[in-house]
Amino acid sequence: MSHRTARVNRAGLAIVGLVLAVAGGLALARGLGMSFLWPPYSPVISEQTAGYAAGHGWFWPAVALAALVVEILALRWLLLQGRTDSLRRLSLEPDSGHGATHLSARAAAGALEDDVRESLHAGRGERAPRGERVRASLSGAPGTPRVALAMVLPDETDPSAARHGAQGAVTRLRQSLELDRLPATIRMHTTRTHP
Amino acid sequence: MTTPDPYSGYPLDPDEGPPTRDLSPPGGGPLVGEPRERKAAPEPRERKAGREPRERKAGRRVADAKAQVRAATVGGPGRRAAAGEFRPRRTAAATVTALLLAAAALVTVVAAVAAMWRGRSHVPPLTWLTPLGRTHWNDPAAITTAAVVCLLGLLLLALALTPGRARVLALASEDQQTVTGITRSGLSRHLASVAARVDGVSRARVRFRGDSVQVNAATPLREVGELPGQVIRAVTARLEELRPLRPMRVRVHVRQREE
Repeated sequence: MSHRTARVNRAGLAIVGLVLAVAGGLALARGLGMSFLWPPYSPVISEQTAGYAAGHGWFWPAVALAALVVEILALRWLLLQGRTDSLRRLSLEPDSGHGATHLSARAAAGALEDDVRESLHAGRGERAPRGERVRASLSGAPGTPRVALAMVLPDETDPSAARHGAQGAVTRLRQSLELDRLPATIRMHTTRTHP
Repeated sequence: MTTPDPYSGYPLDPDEGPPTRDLSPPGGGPLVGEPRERKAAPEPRERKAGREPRERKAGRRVADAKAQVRAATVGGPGRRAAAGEFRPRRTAAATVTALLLAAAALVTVVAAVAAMWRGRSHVPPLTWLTPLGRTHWNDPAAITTAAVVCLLGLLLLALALTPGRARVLALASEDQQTVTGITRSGLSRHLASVAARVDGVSRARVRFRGDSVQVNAATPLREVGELPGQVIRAVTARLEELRPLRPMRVRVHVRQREE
């Protein structure tokens, strides 16, 4: 769902930006005397505007309602940022006529992490070097999950070998979950481990 | 399951690179999905590596070298998916804007409700609106505010419409369903360690500038000699193993310095 977050963020920023730019631009044009319609020397809130607001009973309720709508949209937008969309459990049985099989998503992610660590050390049974971290998480829908794998490697480790090992682990997870599709994102980072 | 590494025959320093790993998966399981179209074995390369060291700055010997790492040949969808995955999501800008928008809307709701009730009871008038009745459009304060609002709007529009600088560099994947990337800072740290392992290099730093990689290496050797060529071979060989989805230029600058 992070793609959706990115789209919503960009759309929201574009709308707010456009409104601010147009409003600011019009006000600037009026203040600098570049607008033909309105004189620059009038007050920002004129007698007419104030009179209109006072004379029409619906004015303030309408403003309140519009601001309330904006408020709700803004809060929803804000809450979208904190959503991680992580899965709690996977459903392994695609056909609901055959009952349901669930697997904890954390367990699957943990198994993937162990497999990746194993393949990083190529089965040599070494202890993980200082600075190495592997973190996996599953997201999406229970029947069509996606996996995100983040690896932090010591800076002297070859990332292309690590990528190969991680790819193998993802493929094995896909096979053991009997999924045709398991989109994966592998993200690598390094830390300095020598003086 | 993979084609042989086309770069393995590349002449590198004997102590360059980590010990070779067993790259086959421990389970020996075959990978699902066709291996991606790979680059053909590279033609004999001609690099402008290791130009003659030239004198600069009071007897200090410096030498530069340049090379180009070609982009991995990955089909359109994979490239697009990778670009979409690692494009900045503008979370920080969106959070701040949403917070300010929510705060402004809340103030407006409260003010409008207060104004509604003022008609019936005798609530004091909105005090923060009255200065606006006295301020004129061409007052310096009004003009400044309008300019700031306009610039802020243009800034948000730019944030929304420009792709932004991805902190993660997309790499080729062995598998259609997988998107792989490495952080720019992580890659530069790794390439610095690769450069520092070349014999004769005492320190190395790597910086990214757009799609180009700048390696600054220091050597205690009196003669810089072939060092830029060796450093650039080590760094480009590693980059070509990683197969970035965009071509990258590599520049090496070696400077002689006494420790």
